[in-house]
Amino acid sequence: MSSEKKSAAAKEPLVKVEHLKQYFKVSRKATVKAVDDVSFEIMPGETLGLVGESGCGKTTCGRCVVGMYTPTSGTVTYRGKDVHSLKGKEKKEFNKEVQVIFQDPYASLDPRMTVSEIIGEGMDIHHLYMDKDARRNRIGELLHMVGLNQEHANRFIHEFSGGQRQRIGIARALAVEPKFIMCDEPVSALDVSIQAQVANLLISLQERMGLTYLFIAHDLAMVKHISDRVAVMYLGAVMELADSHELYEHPMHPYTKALMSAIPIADPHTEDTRQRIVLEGEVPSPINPPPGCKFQNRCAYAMECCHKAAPPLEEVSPGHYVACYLCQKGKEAAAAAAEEAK
Amino acid sequence: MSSNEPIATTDLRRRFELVDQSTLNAEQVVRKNIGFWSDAWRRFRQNKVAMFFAAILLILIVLAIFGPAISGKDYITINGMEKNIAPCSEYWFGTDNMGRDMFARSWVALRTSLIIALVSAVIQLVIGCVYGAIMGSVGGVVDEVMMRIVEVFSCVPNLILVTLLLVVFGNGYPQLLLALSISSWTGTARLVRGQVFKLRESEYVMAATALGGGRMHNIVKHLLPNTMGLLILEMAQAIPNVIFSETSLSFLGIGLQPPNFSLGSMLATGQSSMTFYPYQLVIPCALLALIVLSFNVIGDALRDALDPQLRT
Amino acid sequence: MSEQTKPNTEASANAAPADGPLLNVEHLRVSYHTYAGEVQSVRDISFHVDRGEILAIIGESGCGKSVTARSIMSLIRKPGEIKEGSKITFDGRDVLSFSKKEMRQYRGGECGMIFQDALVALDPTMRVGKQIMENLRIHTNMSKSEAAKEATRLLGAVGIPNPEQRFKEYPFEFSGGMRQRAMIAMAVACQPKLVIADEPTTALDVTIQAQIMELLKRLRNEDGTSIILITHDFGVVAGFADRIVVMYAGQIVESGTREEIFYNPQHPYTWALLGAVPRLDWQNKQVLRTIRGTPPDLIAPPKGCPFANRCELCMNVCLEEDPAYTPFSTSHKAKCWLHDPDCPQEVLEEANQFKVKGGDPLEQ
Repeated sequence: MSSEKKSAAAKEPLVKVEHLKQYFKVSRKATVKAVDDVSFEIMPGETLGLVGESGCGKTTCGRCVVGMYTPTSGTVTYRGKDVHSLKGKEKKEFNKEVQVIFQDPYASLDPRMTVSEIIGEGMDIHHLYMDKDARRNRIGELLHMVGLNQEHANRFIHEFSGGQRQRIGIARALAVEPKFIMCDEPVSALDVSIQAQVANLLISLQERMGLTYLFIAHDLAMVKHISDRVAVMYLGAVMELADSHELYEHPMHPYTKALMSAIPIADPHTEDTRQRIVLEGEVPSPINPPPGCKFQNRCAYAMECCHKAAPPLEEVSPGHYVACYLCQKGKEAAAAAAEEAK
Repeated sequence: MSSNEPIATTDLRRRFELVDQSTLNAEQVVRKNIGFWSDAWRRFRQNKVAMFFAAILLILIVLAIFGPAISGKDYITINGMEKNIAPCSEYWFGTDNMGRDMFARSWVALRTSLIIALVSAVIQLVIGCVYGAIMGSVGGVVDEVMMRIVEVFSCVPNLILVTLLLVVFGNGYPQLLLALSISSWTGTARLVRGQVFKLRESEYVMAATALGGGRMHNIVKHLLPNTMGLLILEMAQAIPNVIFSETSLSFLGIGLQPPNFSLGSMLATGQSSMTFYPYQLVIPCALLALIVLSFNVIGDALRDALDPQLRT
Repeated sequence: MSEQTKPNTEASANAAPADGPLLNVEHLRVSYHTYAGEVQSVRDISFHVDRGEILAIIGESGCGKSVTARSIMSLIRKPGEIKEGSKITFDGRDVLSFSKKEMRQYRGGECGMIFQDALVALDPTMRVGKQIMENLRIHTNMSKSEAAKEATRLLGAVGIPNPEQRFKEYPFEFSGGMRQRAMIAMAVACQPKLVIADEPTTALDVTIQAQIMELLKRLRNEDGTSIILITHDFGVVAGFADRIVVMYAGQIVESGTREEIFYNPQHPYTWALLGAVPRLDWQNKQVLRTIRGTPPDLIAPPKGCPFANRCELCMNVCLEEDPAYTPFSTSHKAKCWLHDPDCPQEVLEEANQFKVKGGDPLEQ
């Protein structure tokens, strides 16, 4: 690859999601709008965090991105090609470059397999390291990379702890030399000390191998820690998207603020003195949601216009996108939107 | 005390020396490396009752193979001189109303019953497996239609269907096997379908798909190995059922016809002379009870041994 | 029995123990017998809970914290076993030798429990209101209508909107947060002196978690109920607990007041845990403190300190002998060889760079 080509590729987003919608029909009348008009881009080498509470559609969104689900409408492009219309060789190449790390380290590894069979699975599928010795060495290398060693290769997975299993899951994904990894709550099921292990591992792997991540989690602190940019999702829509530091310094959306203030901080003085925004109620059901802003019924600032039309995701400062009338170009815009809705 | 002090100090220093971090192994897995099957076998072995019945089953099978040769008596030729002899040193199980050695006959009958049960169970399993796997992995309309067919098969009364078949096609091994398997595969098909559905949604199959594994890969690498336990269980439960059905049919006289015989036809003959020669009924009866009991106990033990939820 | 504690039943947030601690656990040892051998889940721990106090037991999965909770409720069944020599005293009475009747009064009456997964802990076939009523009727002599009224009041008190309606619904009709609230209502129905909350918010979203923790705190402040909170999350503990017990591999490695644990921790494991949680006010991608490897399998607990082979300050002695507790104040103690008077200066200096918080250098 020539250097010009490389720099051009750096400017192009690796993954581009446009107006992605994923609806599931649950009965004749009810449709779950798991993902409702989501757009974002992921640059090569960066980590985009996707954060939100359970049921906000972040996992569904992630699975659409890696082609596990076929979206109801909208497109996902990887390196300029539509993910959902890939065929044959291209599809296979896509499957090699794009990998997934799952949440549950107990459910995502086949209980009948040994560690080397699990890690070697991808190699077999893509015919990598076909030579027996090369294969064994490669598995040893991968195990070493995730902090385990060759001794573990022939063991069955049920003897390992959650953290060890998750690292085996990471080794499996790395085995096919991917470029982009969708991490679906990779640390949520793990113990605190182990979460740090896995988080550090993901960060160092990214530095070493130039990986791109889509990092999905409900833990804002962890997402902020790992990601370069963070998108906050609520009920199938992106509420706010910004550089992770910017998001922490200047959260704008009322939901982001509430989410941030709800995170417990491991410091008694801070905990005792901070003002907490406690949200009333819970996330409403995504079945046939009302029109307007998704957050309206828990929002302390809900205005009339919020009930009429959903605010679009707009750039309020460079790189900082918010979907809230409160933050968008003053009241006129809000009023105009309300007019439009009529 | 004071003379020992220098030694104590060096000892102390050694005691409180930092250990080279690279020598510490915090990833050690101390438990024994034990695979699914060896673990299941371990748990099965722990079940003393099941082990006892497994031994009995083994003995019965060995006798079914070699039993007739042990007594060395002819079990086919009618011998009018030695009818209805009670068990004695010459005829261990006595003779029947045609003067044939009951010992040899019993084992041959058991052999027939076992072979029929085994073949029929395998047929049932293969058909059910393929059918269920297709339902589960294709899904959609195909699944709907195939499921309706299963329902049709399972709602026709079994006995009537079987009797009808035997009456229309006549008696004989192939007909009997057909009759015994005609509707029993539906249960297996449903079971396999459910399992495939469950596994298809499991994260490790998703992970394999994300790695680029095709349908065939997933079936061979994940679905089959994870369904194996279930199939063995199904087999262990199907065999005694088939033995029972076959026995009932033969007992009613619509199963095997002479000169072929099984435990069922022996029971039928024994029953007719029950009042005077009870041993002619008791012996095949005992054999039948023993073999079915063995299979059932082993089946239960297998369920416990193969259930990963019970893993301790 | 109730006479004995009369002066305290009215006590509100007053944590002063009038006649000894409410709960006293001494030398508790619990083992589980599995095919691979005896798993020593809890290995000789002692702690107490004062009246009106919130005690947090913190530790990773498998450290024995849930087993401890179950032991206090006397819920250990085969293949588990509470070993001889263990002693649990509640309000001056020996829990392990309770008669069946006393036990019934104790469980759910004097001591309530909140589980992690409300969907499993609540009976799916029974209306929520009825479940609370049942509990009330077992432990008090309320009439049916009184119990129903009380149950409705409780549902309202734990913040469930329109309790009359909710009273008649089944657990599956509740959302996760509501179910947890219902379980809290059930646990506190009989005004217990102690509530054990086993990871009450782990399965919930943060915004809901904040609500539930508020509720539990209110419970203590208003009724003076003692709470044992079992969790793995230092964040939850920081704003909530009075005292903290840190467990590792079936032992208590450090215990102290909230301030002592957070601002002057003394055990390398506590340091590591405090440094392992990313905080919003930290730099991005800053390397988190990690603890290498995995906790030891308690089927074969290590001979020395259980943390030794994950510890950055492991000394020869750590691998050989289990350290004793070193007291730092009346409430604060830790179990580590670093605090042995013989520990050389250079190791202590080395240790200083691993300490996370608190200004005081490590000195005796």
